[in-house]
Amino acid sequence: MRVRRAQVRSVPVAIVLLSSLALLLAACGTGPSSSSGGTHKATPVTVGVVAPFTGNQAFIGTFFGAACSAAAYVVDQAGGVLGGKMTCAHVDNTGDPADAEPNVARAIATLSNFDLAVGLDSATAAVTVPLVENAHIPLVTLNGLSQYDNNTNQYFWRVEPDDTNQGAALAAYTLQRGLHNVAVVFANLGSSESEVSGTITGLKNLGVHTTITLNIPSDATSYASEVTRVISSHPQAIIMDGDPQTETTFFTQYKQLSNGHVPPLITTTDLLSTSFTSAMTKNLGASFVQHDIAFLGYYFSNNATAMSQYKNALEKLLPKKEAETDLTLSGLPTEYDGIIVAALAMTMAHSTNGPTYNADILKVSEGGPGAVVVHTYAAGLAALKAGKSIQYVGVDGAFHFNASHNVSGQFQVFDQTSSSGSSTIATVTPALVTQALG
Amino acid sequence: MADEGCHDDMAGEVLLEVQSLSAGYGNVEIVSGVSLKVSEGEMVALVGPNGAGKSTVLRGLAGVIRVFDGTVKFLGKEVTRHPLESLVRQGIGYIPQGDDTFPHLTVKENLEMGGYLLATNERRQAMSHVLDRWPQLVPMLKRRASTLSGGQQKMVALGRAMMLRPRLIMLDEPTAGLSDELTRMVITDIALGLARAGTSVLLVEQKARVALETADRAYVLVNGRVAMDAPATEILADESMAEVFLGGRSGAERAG
Amino acid sequence: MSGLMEAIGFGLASGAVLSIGSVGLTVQFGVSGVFNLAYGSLLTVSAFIGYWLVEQGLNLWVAMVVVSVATGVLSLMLNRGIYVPLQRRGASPLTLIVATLYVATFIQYLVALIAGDQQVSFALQAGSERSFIGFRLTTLQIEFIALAVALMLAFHLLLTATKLGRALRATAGNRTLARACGIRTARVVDFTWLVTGMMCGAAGLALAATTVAFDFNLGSLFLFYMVAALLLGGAGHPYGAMLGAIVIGVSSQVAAFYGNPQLSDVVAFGIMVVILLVRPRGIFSHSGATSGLEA
Repeated sequence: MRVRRAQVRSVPVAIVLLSSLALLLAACGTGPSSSSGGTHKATPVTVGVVAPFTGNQAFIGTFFGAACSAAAYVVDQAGGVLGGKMTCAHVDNTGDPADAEPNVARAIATLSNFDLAVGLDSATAAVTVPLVENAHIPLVTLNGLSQYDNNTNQYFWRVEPDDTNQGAALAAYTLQRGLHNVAVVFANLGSSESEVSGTITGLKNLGVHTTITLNIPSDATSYASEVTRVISSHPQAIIMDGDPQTETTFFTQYKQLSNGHVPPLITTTDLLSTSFTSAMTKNLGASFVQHDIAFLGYYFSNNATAMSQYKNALEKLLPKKEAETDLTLSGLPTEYDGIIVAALAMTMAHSTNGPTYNADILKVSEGGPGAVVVHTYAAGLAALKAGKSIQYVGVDGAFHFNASHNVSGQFQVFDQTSSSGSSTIATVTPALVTQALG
Repeated sequence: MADEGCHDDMAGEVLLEVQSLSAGYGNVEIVSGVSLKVSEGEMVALVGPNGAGKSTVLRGLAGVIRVFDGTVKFLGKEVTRHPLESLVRQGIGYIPQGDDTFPHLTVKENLEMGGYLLATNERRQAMSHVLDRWPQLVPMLKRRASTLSGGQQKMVALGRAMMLRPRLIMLDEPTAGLSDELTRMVITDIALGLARAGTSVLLVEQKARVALETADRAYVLVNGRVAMDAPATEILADESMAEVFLGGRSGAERAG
Repeated sequence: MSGLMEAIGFGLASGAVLSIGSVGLTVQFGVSGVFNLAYGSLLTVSAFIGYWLVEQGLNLWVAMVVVSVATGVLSLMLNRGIYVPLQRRGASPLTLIVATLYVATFIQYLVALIAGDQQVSFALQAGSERSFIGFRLTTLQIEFIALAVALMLAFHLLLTATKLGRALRATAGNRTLARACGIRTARVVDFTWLVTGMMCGAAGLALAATTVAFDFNLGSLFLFYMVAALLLGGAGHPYGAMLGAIVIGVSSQVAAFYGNPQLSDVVAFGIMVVILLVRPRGIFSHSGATSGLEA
C-alpha cells in the first residue's frame, strides 16, 4: 500500500500535523451512532474502518476514517442504502495484532449492523481477515501481503494489487521500453521484499539482463561506492525504488562520478512529489526530470465525475486544504470506491446482509454485457431502479477481480512533463504483469 | 573580629579568618558554626575523629562545595563563596584530597600547570624555586605522575601548589593512604619546606598525632563543631582528647 | 584494485566530515562530562540554516562561517541554559543523558515543524571530479577533506601549544585541580561548548552539502556514526575520534564496494566491536585514562 510506505518515516510529525484533522473528523460525528432508523424496514449500515487509530500509525486511521466518511456522506446524500443511513465506525487495530484481535472481535460482537469492513491492515491481516470472514462480513482491504495472492476467503476483496505485482510491473515496463540491460537498486525504506522479488523474477522471466542488483541502506550520507559499482555495470537504465531522499542523493552522486552521464530512472509513483522533482531538477537538470524519469504506479483512471464528487464530499467534511493535499493520495480513493461498490451491491441484492450481497460486489465491479457504466452512487441507484445492470467506474477506475478476489494489476507510467503536472506515457497490461510473474 | 589573641602573640598578620561557617552538600549541612583563624607563618591543624567534617570545612573554604552561612576573610577582605580559582589568584593554595596531581602529565608538566597563571619567564623562575626547595623532585621531572609512589605524588602536588607562591596553603589529608612512616616524612617535609618558603598552612589530617607534633596550633572538630582550640602541644597533652581520637596509642606511635 | 582505491578515497571523504563532528562531540564530553545526544540535532539545525543561506545566494564558505558561529552560540546557550544548571543541582550522569535525549528530540521536531518533514536538496555544483593516486573525488570533497585536516591541525596546536589548550586539558583531567591552578574552568567549559558547537555547525553543513538531499533526521542518523567514532577512539580523546572516524568511513565504503551495501554498516560496526574487544577503552586510551584530552 502506497500510503503506508510514503508516510512511515515521519510518523511522529504526521501525528502532530494530523491531530487537528482527527479532531475535525471527530467533530463531524463520524463515529458509530446507533440510530435505529425507525421508518419502515430501513436499517442503517455500519462500515467498520479497521485501521490504527492510536499509536504511532494513528495518522493512517485518520486518513481511512476520512475516506469512509466521504463515502457515507455521498451515500446518504442519495438517500442512503435501501433508505438506511450509512455510518463509519472506527475499529482500532493499533497496527498490532495483539490489539487488533480483541478489538475486531469486540466490534463484531457489539456493533449493530456491522455489514462492511474496510481497512489497511497489512500488519494485522492475519488476525483480522479470519475474524470478519467467519462473521460473514465482506472486507474491502488494501493490504499488500503476497500471502493473499491466492486467497480463498469468500468475503475478502483486495482492491489494490500487491507489491509483487508492482515489482513485476517495473520489469514489464522495462521490456516494453525495449531496454535489455538494467541495474536494479532498492533501498530498505520504500521497497518491500515482495516488490524486490517481483522485479527480479520479472526481469528474468522477460529476458531482460540485470547488470547489477544492489540493496542499499536508506538515507545514507554517501553512496559513492555503490554508485561506482552501478556505473561500471553499464546499465541502459536504472530501476530504483527508495524514498525520495535516497534517490536524490544516489542520483546526484551518480552524476558527480559519471561525468554527468546518467541513465534514465524507472521508479514508482511514490516519488511523484514536488519535493522530489524539484530536488532532482536542481541537481540533474529539468531535462532529465522531464524526459528521463518514469514513474510507475497502479492504474488510476481518475474519472472526473467520480473524483469531483469525492473531493466535494471531502470539502464538505474537512477544510479545503486538507481535503486536497492528503486525501486524494492513491489508496484513499480506492477505499472510497470500494465502499460505493459495496453500497451498490447491497442495493442490487436488496439486502445489507453480507452473505446476501457479497456476490453482487463482483457484478457491480465487472458489469458485464449491457451494463450501464456509472461513476456515482446516485447514478448507480437510478440505473438499478430502472432495472438495468451496472458497472461502477469510480475515482480509481473499475475493479477487475480475479478468482482470488484480488484486483488484477494494470499499471500506468507517468512522466513529469512540467513543474506542475504529470502525464501518462505508457500503460502496463495485467497480461504482461502476469507473464513477468511467470 | 573575634577576640582570641592568646594564641597568636608570636604570629604575624592574620591571613585567614573564618566565622561561623556552615557548609555541606546539596541541602545537607555537615558542619556548622565553625570559626578559625590562621596567621602569617603558622601551621594550623584541623583534626578530629572520622566523619567529624574536617574535609568539609576545607572544601567550604576552598569554594568547591556549598556554604550555607558564615563569613570567610582573607587578608581582611571578604572572600566568602568565592570560587576556588579566584581564591588561588588571591594567594591561597589548595591541595585536594585524593586526586591531587594530573596523572597523565609528567612532573614537569604538573608543575607548569601549577604556574598556569604566570608568564613564561616567571613560570621558569617559580619552577627553579620549587626545585631548589624540594630537590627530590628533580630526578623525576620527566616521569608521569601516575608512575610515582604515593609519597612522591604528594611532593608533586605540593610543588604544583607552590608554583604560585601562595601566602596560605590548604591541605586536605595529604597522607591519606600512606604508611605511618611515610606520613611522618611527608608532613615533616611539608612543614619544613613551607616554613622556609614563608607559607602558612591549614592542614586537615586524620592522623592527628603526627599533625599535632608538627603544627603550631590546632582545632579539634567533633560532629561538625569545634570542640577545642589550642596550641598543638596542649591538645597532645590533653588526656581526654587522646581518648576521643588518638586512640591511646601514643606509645606505639612514638616508637615509629 | 582501482575500485579499492576509489572506495578508500570515498571513505576518506566521508570520514573527514565525520571526524569534524566526532572530535567536537568527544571534546565536549571530555571537558564537560556531558554526553550530549542533542549534538546530532544541532547538526541538523546547522544543515538547515546553511541550506537556507545558500539558497539565498550566499557563498558556501561564507555560509559555513555564519553557520558555525550560530551553532556555536546555540551550543553554548544549551549548556549554560540547561546542562550547567542540572549539573549544579547534582543531576546524576543518567539524568543528564536523559535530559540531552529530550533536548535532542525537541530540537529535531522543532526543525521538522519549522522546515517541514520533507527532504530538501542542495543545488551545489560539487565541482569537477578529480582523479589522483587512484582516488576519484569531487572538488568539494577535496575541499572538505582539506577543511577537516586544517581543523584537526588547528585543534592539535590549540591543545598542545597554547595556554587555553593547557587549560582545556587540565579541566578535562580534573576540574577541581584545574581550579586549584587558578584556571577559570567555567569559562573553559563555555569556550569548549562554543568551539565544539562550531565544529558541529561546520560538520552539519559539510555533511548536508555532500549528501545533497536531507531532512530533519539528518543529525540523529549521523549521531550514531559520531558516537561510534568516539567510542572507537576512546571517549574524550580527540585524536582517537579522528582515527575512529576514518576507520568507520573507509570500512563502510570498502564494504559497500565489495559486499551487500545493506551490510556495510554491519561490517563497519563489526570492525568497531572487534577493536573494542581488544582495546575496551578505545584505540588511543592507555589503561586508567579517564579522559584522552589529558594524556
